[in-house]
Amino acid sequence: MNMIPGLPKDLIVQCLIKVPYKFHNHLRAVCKSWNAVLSSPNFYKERQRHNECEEGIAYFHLTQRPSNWEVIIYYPHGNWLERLPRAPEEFISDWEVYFNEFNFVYVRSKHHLVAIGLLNKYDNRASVLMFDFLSRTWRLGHDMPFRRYQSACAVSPSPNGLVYITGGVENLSQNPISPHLLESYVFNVEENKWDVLPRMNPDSPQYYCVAEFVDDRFYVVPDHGRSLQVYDPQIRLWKTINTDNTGENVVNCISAFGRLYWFGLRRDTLVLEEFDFANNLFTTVGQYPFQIRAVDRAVLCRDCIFVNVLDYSSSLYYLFNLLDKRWTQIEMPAEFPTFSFVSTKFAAVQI
Amino acid sequence: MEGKVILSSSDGQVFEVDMKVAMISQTLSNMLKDTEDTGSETAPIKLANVSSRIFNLIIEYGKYHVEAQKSDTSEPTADLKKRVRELVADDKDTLFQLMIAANFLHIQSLLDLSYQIVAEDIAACKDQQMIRQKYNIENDYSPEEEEEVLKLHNIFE
Repeated sequence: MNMIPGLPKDLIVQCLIKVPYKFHNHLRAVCKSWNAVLSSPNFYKERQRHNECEEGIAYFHLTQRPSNWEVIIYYPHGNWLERLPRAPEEFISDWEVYFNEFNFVYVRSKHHLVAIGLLNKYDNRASVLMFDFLSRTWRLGHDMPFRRYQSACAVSPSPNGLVYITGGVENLSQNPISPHLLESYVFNVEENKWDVLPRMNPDSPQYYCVAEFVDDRFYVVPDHGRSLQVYDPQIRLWKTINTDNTGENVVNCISAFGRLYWFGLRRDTLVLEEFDFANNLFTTVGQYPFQIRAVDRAVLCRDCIFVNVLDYSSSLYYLFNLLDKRWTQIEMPAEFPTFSFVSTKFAAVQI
Repeated sequence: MEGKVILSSSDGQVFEVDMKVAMISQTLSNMLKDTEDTGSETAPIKLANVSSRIFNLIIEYGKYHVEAQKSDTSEPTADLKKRVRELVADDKDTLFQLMIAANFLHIQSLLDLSYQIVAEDIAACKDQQMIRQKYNIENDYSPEEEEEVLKLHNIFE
């Protein structure tokens, strides 16, 4: 059937990729052939290629205890919200969701939101749950080889859709003892397969850490600073970088424009720092202007770092613009759910 | 580049077009380069797929395009887009024919503006029913299927 009578299909597709994401529900509901175009892998790739994709902040949160959760995405540009379709009931009821158990990331090359390491309350498996923006459905991936708490996670720029998991501890009540924790895992979204990386340097294990990719290399930054571990997937080798001046308590790590940033405490002040690769030093690029000691979540959203802080009982949201180095507080729409410290995760989405 | 080029439309009308205007078409630009190389006599170039009505619009657009490149308006794209909207006078079939011709002639700027116009018009429709009406699209969903598809996106402000 003709998608639009009188216009060849390839021209129609070029028009449709320019329609803002907010109206994609209308596009899918026009007829089956339009829905087929929006469900094909090329459609959202073309949007990326033509710089038409929109940035959103996906928010994984509990709607009620014990384990009812949902994902809401906030689009700062148009100031609107989207609630993702509900996952099948068994995907929801099988898990007790706590923020320190799992990682939540967006795999841009595959248009998947991935929650990794959700602990199944019946048999302690660490499950993987994925939302596919093309079919707009949830599905389970293969379980993580070994379950761990408080691991760090980053998405590789590889077109295959690889998610790296590192660090963490075996059990919240024990010291990190398992040699498994020196291993990092790689989840391939496309093939639904796990791979195990060579062990990192055992002299400087990174249990409590944050992680990011910069220029195809996987950086693991311990919360105490001092030494970074870097993995090069090309040669499958780890390298240790020693540095003298990290802040303490590194809470978040963000890669942007080939640079590595993180939030950390320096003399009791929360600062945003950038890693100077030439000199292996950290330099402060933005002092946090507010009287708040901890950044809970931070993700990159276009030119800005989106930051969520918990100020006693309320949530505050800020954007730090990396170009002009300015902070702006943002007001969330009234329907945006209240932040819950125990269960919330953020991921930056481009769709 | 100076001078004129002679072109004829599918219905046989002959147009004398400024070289500068003709050069916005990648297709014509390549053809003209070929004729220059061989040094052959400049017989009118026949555009078998483009009617005189649409070709007149293309020439109008070409003039705007050349003008816009010379002037330093703050929003050249928005301005050109408005011109294209005026050219097709809100008639979608004219716009589609213009797009097909621009595609054949490889006029990327006109194509991009047209995609943008169609996208805006679709986004301006309040629902899928209005999109179908505007573009004469047959609904092949059952009411249940349509409802299921709509559930895939839940948008609120």
